[in-house]
Amino acid sequence: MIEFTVAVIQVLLLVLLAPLASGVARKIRAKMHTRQGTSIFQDYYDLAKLWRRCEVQPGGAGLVSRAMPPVFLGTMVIVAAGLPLIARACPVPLLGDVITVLYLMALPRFMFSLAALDSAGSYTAVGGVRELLLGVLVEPALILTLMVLALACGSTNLGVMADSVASLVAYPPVAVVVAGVAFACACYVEMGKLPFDVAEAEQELQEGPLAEFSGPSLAMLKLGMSVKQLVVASLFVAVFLPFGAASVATPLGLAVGLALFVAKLAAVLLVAAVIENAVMRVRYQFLGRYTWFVFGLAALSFVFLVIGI
Amino acid sequence: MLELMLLSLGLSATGAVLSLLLMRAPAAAKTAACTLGMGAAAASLASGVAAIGSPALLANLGGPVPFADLTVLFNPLSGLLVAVISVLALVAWLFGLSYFNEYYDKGIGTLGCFMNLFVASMMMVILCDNAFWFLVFFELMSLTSYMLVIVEGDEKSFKGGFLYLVMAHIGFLMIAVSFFLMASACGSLEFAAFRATAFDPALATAAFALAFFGFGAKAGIVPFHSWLPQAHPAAPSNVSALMSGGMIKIGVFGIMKVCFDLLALSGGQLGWGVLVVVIGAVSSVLGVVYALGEHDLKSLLAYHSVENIGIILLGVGTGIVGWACGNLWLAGVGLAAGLYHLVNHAMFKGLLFLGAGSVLHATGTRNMEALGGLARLMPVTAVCFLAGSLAISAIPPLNGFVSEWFTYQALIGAAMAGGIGLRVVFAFAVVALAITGALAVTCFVKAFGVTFLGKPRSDAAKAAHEVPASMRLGMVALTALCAALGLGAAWFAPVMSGIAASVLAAPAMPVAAGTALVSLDTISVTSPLLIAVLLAVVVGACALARNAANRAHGLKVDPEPWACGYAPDVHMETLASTVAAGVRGFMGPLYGIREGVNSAGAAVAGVFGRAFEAGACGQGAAPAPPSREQRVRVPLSESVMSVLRSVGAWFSRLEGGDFRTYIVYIVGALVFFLALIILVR
Amino acid sequence: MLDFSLVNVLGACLIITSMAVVLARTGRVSAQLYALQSAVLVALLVALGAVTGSTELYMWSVSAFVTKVLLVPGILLFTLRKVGDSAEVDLAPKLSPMKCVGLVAVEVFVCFVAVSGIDLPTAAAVKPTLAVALAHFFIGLTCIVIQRSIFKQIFGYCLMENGSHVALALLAPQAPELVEVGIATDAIFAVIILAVMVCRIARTTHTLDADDLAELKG
Repeated sequence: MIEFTVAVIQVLLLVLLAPLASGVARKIRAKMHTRQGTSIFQDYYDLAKLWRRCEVQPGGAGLVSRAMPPVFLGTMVIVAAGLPLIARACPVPLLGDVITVLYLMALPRFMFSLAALDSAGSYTAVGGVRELLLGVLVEPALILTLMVLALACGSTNLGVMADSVASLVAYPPVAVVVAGVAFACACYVEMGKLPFDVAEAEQELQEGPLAEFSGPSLAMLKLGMSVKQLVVASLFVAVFLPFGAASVATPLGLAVGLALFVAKLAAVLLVAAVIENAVMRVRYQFLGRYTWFVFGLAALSFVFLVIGI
Repeated sequence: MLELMLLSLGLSATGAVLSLLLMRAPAAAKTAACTLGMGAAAASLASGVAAIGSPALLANLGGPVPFADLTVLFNPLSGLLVAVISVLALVAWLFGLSYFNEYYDKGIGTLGCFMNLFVASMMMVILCDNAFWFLVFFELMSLTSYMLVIVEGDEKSFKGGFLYLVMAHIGFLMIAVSFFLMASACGSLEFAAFRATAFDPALATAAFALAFFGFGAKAGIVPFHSWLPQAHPAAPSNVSALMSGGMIKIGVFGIMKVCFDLLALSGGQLGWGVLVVVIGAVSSVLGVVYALGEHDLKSLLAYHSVENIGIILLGVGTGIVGWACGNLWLAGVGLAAGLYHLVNHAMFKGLLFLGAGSVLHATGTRNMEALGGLARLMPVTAVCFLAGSLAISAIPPLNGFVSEWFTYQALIGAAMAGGIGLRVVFAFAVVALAITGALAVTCFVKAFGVTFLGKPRSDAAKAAHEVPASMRLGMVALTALCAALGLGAAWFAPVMSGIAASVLAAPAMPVAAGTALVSLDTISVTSPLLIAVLLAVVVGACALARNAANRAHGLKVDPEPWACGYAPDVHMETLASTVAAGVRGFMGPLYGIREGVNSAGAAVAGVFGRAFEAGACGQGAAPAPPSREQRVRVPLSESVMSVLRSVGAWFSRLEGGDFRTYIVYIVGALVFFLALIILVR
Repeated sequence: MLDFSLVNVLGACLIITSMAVVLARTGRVSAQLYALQSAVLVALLVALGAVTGSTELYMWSVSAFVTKVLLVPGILLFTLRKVGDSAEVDLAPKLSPMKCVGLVAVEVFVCFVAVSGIDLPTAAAVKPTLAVALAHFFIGLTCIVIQRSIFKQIFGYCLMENGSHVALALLAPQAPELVEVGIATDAIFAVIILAVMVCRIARTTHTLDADDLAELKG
């Protein structure tokens, strides 16, 4: 029962905080540009307003476009329920397997790109294809780092991984640290922050794949994308920064874990927001170089694992 | 079991004969071939399912040849293969009831005859337990399928078919040599004698390597894959489904049979497993990369068969490694993962080929660039194709995910258990599988999106219509099987584990508990069923909320997409080449490999072609026209020159005058000699 | 045992810092990172001294601190200032960072395979670090081969030298002081000579690009 509660709390936390996180990121960007910026609650206002709008469907679009926003948000919610965020163990162990999480996250990507093709608009489709490409580029590094961690911890379950990292028994330590760095880079790419926001590069592509969405569907999709950023960041926090998460599920421990998790997540998002505003946009053909660099780091961590340091 | 199988073979033979006799009445020939074929498939399905659950049964059927009796062996592994191929055959015949209407003027009688013989010969290859008869039926299978490939009778199908015939015989030769090695060592052609002999390790390795590459040529592993995307698409679509879903599995079956069964007493060797894993990893990545570059729907699917054979081999290879190391969990789970993916691939690849067949039936083209917008016109086909695409992309909760999950667990488990070398090999395999997964998603977004979504890009696509009921029924049946194998994984996985255990002659590994799938050594669990339920509930709730908001605030339809202020035009739509272009940009070198392999395959086929021609000349036929000779020779000398030139360029780069290059050479030589000293000592 | 694992962890840090030295965009950052790497080396020597109980190693670490953390980076930074605007120092390397990291990973792995074949009683627990020491030789070589700027090629030499230092400390912790003095002075003089040559070349030819300088030969 307590696991169920934890899962529900995690989901509510991530879904409710997602607009705030993107609002804060936007505020940071404005401040770094020495602008005043909008309120940090602006995203809530936007979502509420979109929710009350009339929706306009593109004529070419069919079931796929219609189904995509709920699938996107719903999948992210399910992934969020399975991560070991405020306790070290997975609240729902059946959802806590690394491979399951990564392949579950392929479902929204699949539908997202398909919906971009569905509307028959060329601008949306280009964005959708870029989203797929990014997946191709980042997936190998993501899996290799998680494999290093799995070998260091002896399990592919996120809860077991988090537990052994938190209690510092994951061996060899340097390999885990390097894998953590590589994973952080991969997560940054996966979060779709600049310069990896190719799918959504506003200036070039007029809001990319979202162009054909409006009203409640757009609201749901925007919320889903913010939740995805939080989920990816929490995945990093869950496995590589599990320190402070409750090792036994007592109410007090969970409360402390919750508070610490929010703090860690905020710190990670802050760093990501600062990086995002300090880098420049690049042509998407050159993104391969960055992601291969991340893959090189992952390979290095694997070598450290093999030689045992 | 045996009686059912004999019944099935008898029905197939009757179907073949009847269909040939009724050649003048196409409709009757088709009906006779299809109904009898379905009857045969149903009987063999029952026989196969019975064999999965029962102990091995060896039966001697005698036969006309004095030196080799026709013995058949029913065991769980052959039962599984028989059942899988029977399901595909059943659906293919069902599909054919309507689909073959197009073939009335292309010799439906012979088509029905050869397809019946093809299915029957596959069954016999699987069951046969004698080297001589195995090869006979293997050859029969190759020949009948060749006849099915060239049924269209156009230039392209002859070309693909010839390449197929050459590759099949190269494979056949290697298998024959492998069997001959074993037979000469134990003095009998009976597989039972092979099984009872402990071969010399060197001989066992040679036999295994020959059999692996021989069966691999049949299965379409890299570098023997070039025939597959040319031959499979040329056949009628339901035959493609049978070939891509069924026949190439016989290659995998042969590898497993030789390794775990025939060479059982010789013991597995680690190197075999590593070879299988590495070839599997390479095949999976290259298969999907090449698939991305295809714009022909059926060629794309054929390349995906190369990919999936690679994934199956990853599981099988891990099984061999576990078997060689004495790690029971690894052997059991690796093999079970391979078998599960074998079944899954048969189901979703069959489904996708039938879907492609429906598209071909409705529009008359396989070129994705000329399609588009079919989802509205052919909703059932579209939904089935979408389900197949999700399944083959390994997206939970469908069946592709289950087998890839087990494959990942086995690979990671192998890396955990292994030493330095094995860790590197399995990390390579895991990364290859990850790239494959991400590319498969891209590829099927392209295949489904460009074909079924957007707006029609040609008149043929505009005039498309939903296919007849029997074809829809075939696709829906396979879709249901894909869903069942995914959601019911907790019940199917133990069956696979049991079959793997019987192959290994070891206790079955627990792979499921309740509704969950369990991976013991990597301490992890998952549950496609739970994921499906959660997805249904959460996504359903989201959709309901959104629809309620739509109802409250209105929903309009804008007929045209946004094109930045310009009038949208059908030429603005995203084509298959657009999707592929990005990946091509990042994966350029991998396409270079294909050019090399393809030209090598074409060259081999060309050599055989010339040999045949020369033979024909020698028998007193008209002398070959000189133009042809020149056509062959000029490119040959050209290619030799270009090779020389590139080698020269390479050497000139080696000796570029940069002192740093020389440093590298000096150190390289130093390292080489040090390594030599260490190795020699 | 914890102490030996500490040595190994420091060895891993050596790899990471040396990779950073090779990858750094500017010569100034490279020099600073080299100082950092030498600091890690000193820590490693101290840790090794604590583990093996060899007092010589403490002395080594002091002299290494003076020469490698202070003097060598100092000389290099000074050279950088002397070169000033007369030539471009920060030339892009010939290899992309991705390939570089991959190459380093492969080198470390190959060295580990090589080291695992060696059976030495003193090196059983510190095999990873021994592999790291050996790998430094190759990383230094990589640096020399891929860098176009001859200033940055000096770091390749320094990295090789650090590697030999670590290997010596691991295999012969009881080696007399004289050996250490030899190594330290050797390194210092080599770096000084190289730095002087860089200055002269920059002043005469106004380029530090090895590809251009290759034209000078003969």
